[in-house]
Amino acid sequence: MTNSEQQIYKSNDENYLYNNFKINWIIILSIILLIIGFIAICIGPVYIPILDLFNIFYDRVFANVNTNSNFDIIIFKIRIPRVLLAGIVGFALAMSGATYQGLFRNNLADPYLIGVASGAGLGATIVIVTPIPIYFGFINILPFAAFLGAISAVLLAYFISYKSNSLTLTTLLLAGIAISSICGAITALLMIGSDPDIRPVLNWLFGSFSSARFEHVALVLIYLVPSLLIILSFSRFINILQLGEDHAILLGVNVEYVKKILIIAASLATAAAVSFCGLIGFVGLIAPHLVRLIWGTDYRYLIPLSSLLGAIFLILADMIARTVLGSSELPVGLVTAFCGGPFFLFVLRYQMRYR
Amino acid sequence: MGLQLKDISLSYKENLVLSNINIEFDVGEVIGLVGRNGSGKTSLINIMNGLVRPTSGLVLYNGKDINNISIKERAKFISVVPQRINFPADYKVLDLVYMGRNPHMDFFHRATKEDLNNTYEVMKTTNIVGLAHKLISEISGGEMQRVAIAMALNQRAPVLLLDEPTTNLDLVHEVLVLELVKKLNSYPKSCVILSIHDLTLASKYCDKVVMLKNGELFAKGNPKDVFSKENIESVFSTKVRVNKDPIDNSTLITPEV
Repeated sequence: MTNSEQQIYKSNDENYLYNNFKINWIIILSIILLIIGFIAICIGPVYIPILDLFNIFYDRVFANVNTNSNFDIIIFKIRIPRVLLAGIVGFALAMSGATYQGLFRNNLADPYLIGVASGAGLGATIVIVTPIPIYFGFINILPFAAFLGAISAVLLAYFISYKSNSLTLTTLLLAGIAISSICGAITALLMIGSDPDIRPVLNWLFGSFSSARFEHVALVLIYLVPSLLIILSFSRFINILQLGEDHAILLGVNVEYVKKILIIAASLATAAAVSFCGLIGFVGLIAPHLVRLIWGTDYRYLIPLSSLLGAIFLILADMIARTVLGSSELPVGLVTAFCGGPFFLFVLRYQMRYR
Repeated sequence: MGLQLKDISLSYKENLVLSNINIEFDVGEVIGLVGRNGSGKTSLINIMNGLVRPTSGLVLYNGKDINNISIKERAKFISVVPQRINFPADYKVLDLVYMGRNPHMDFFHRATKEDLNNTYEVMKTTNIVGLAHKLISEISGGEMQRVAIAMALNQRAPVLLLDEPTTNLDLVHEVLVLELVKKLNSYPKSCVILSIHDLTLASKYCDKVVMLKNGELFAKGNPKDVFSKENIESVFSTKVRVNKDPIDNSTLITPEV
């Protein structure tokens, strides 16, 4: 190789290493997310023309005029909180899914792997089925019970697999599976033993954004934002962890610390996300997988890109959930399974053929 | 002063894996660890890199105990090429070599000129510049070994440990890797320690050899002295012929069949 050739290689490499965050794709996906968000605000049982939407927006935000028209109420009381919550939950689930996949070095990991979902389910079921009042004053305690259940399940799995200053991920995974099935069994038992009407529990278990409010969005954000910052700044270490824990230590990564922080961050974000809207499957699995297929495996961009994709996916799924049956509503978890499942199978087949 | 092992012993439950090892490794030397499978070579390397804590004894680098400093600090002066690496298939060679810079990066790090220059430099040394943008799944075993060495070199550590770097390589790549290793001891003035099974190659490429037998230090010193018929037959319990290479005077060891 001649000197000039080496020079070319070198400048290419520098470019590659400097710009390997796919910042342009992050911006493009953010713009798509914004557009889809606006469309989702317009579409529903009552269709709102996009120009009216912008007018009302302008009046309320810049001119500070509250017209109190029907559209105004639908937009600000129903649609915006709902779309925001769907986006944020999708974002959080995909982010946690990507993080778990990196940590466990397994593309099949999803955010519910170590017990978050079944713990949350159990928490919610206890509140719905037992005589504990769902409303405590004006506050709906269902989300808090779900959050508590999720965190307890993860903590239990965590402490079982924690021994002499080190966390064994395989044990964590197995403990998570065992705790999931125990919680699932208790949930089923409670449902069987209760009054015949278990539809509220089922509704919760399949997920829905129908009761979304601004406060929910704010509460989820309190957990999501710090988790996101932590996970993004640790994403370089997730890359190194792909070489295996021992090798990562040799390269100067404090593996125990990284594992602990990432598991806590991802679990908190997931628990917060599911506690308001119930269990929504598939987002945390499908979004990172698609990003990996299109852009590659570098976690520095895989995490932000799959989070954005997860938000887009869940906003679309929720849009379908509230429009496809006309006036009544489908649980959004059903939509993600119905649309996501076949799509995922198609992607898998496509991937097999072109590998 | 380089790496110093002081009264190192290691036992798993009742099994004594290493007992009372005392060695000093000087900077600027290539040192070969030889011995039978299970004689404690890999355990010794894992003790020297801090992955395994010795049951008793100290590993000192320039007088400092390597188990008493942070993982990141340690990676700045001890780099390792492990025996087997689980290379993730969908990373580029350049990404992996760049990971070697990790101990020199602060928390919110973006690539500096120094990181890029170092990365390029080690890829040139290991002759993998042309592979920079290939995926790991697209390169051969010999090339992977060079990528692994480049990663370790990118740490710019004065101590380089290689755990059987030539196992699973054909003759060409064996020689290529060992030539590279030979070149490295002067690269940033470093101390290169490798475990190796091929005694003939060890005598060609190592300045010193350390022979282990059942977890004990059996002999150390110049390969010409250590690789005597008696020593080798005692350690490996195999009859061998020991000859001198007529060209470079290194020791040729062939089993007596």
